[in-house]
Amino acid sequence: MREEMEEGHFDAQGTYIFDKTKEIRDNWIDNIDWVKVKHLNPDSSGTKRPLEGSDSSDEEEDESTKNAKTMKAYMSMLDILEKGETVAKAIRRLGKNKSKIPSASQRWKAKKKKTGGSEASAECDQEAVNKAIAEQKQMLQLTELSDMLIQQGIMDIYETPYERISFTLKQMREKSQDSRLTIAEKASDGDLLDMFADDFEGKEDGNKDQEESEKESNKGDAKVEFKMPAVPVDGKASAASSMGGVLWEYKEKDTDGAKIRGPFTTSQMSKWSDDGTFGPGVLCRKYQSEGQFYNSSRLDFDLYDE
Amino acid sequence: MSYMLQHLHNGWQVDQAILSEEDRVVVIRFGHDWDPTCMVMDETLYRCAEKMKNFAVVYLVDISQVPDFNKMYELYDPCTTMFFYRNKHIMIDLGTGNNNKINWSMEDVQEFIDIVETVYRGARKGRGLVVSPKDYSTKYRY
Repeated sequence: MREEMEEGHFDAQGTYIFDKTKEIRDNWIDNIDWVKVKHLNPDSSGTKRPLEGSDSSDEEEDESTKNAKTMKAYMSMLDILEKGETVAKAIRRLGKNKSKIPSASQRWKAKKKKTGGSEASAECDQEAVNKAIAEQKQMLQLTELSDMLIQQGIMDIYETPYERISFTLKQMREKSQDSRLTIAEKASDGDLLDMFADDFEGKEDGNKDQEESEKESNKGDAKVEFKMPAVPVDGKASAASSMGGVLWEYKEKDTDGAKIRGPFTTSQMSKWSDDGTFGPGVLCRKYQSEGQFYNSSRLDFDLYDE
Repeated sequence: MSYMLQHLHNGWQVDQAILSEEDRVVVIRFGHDWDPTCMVMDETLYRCAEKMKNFAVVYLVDISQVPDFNKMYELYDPCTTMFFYRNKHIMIDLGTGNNNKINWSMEDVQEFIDIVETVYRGARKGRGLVVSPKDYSTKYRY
């Protein structure tokens, strides 16, 4: 106890504190020129500030690049998904053959067998295995993509069907085109302000600009559309029905085995039922509603247009 | 099961229920709690009520206790279900010839919800008459 008291003391709370003030004399600390350090400080904060600034601009950039990223993710998703398939379903489909991929030991065994004979069947196996591996890769890519999208706040990505993804993608494209359009319009507005005398011409030019960019956007649409004939091709009709709109599926015969087609947007269904594509009527219900089918002649699709 | 659904005990309450609902369909079942047809219908209504609470509200009216509407709405059937939206009676083409009301009991929950949804969407678009998704002319003959 006495020894301890020599090296330190107890404070009011009973905490033992070493009296080491004298012993701790660090040459390195002594060597530090504190005046210099103080001099450096504003510099360092100065270097920090632009960093922070770049951070915030990064966030702004994020907003624009985020959209581009999301669009990219959607596009690669569309490559993997099949028509009418949700992401979750696709993952299930692709993960189905996982068991066919041989583990290392199985592969080794197969090699042994191969030396034994029956090379034809082995090759056949190999093909299946290769396919399974490719599917596995696709599945991993898909899960990666959906994970990324979920991190960006798109929580229902797993339940999103192919058609909706393609639709969202198209909308995003249109939106980005629109933003470019507004910039173009602003520019032409500026022109108008500058020369009042020629404002008519200026307007015409603006319209031309618009037309041109519309053409461009249509081209873009055509590019997206290459894989989805099910979704209405004309951009305007699809743009009218909002994302939250009802999707439909239908079958032509009232039997359990009849093939269910869809999903289709309300505007598409409305068009078909108006122009007589459905003939005397097909049986429809809301997409994935699991409810009963109703005759299209009794459904008023106009009611479902928001 | 009907005890979970709200009863309206006089004409004023019925009027208020229809008047005060701003943006939901008011579904009223006229009949008697002890009537077997009503019991079936009430069961369906009970199971629907929660699912369609966003666009519809269900009330039960005893036509002996509240005879005020019997003449106006011709409530002579054991069980009658009617739809109102913003103090307006919404008619439905059910294929039966009587567009004013459903005067039988329905058992299929989803089927009934689909009807109410159609009523709701139609009424919101200003329609006084909507077409029910299903044609009941073959199933129920009059």
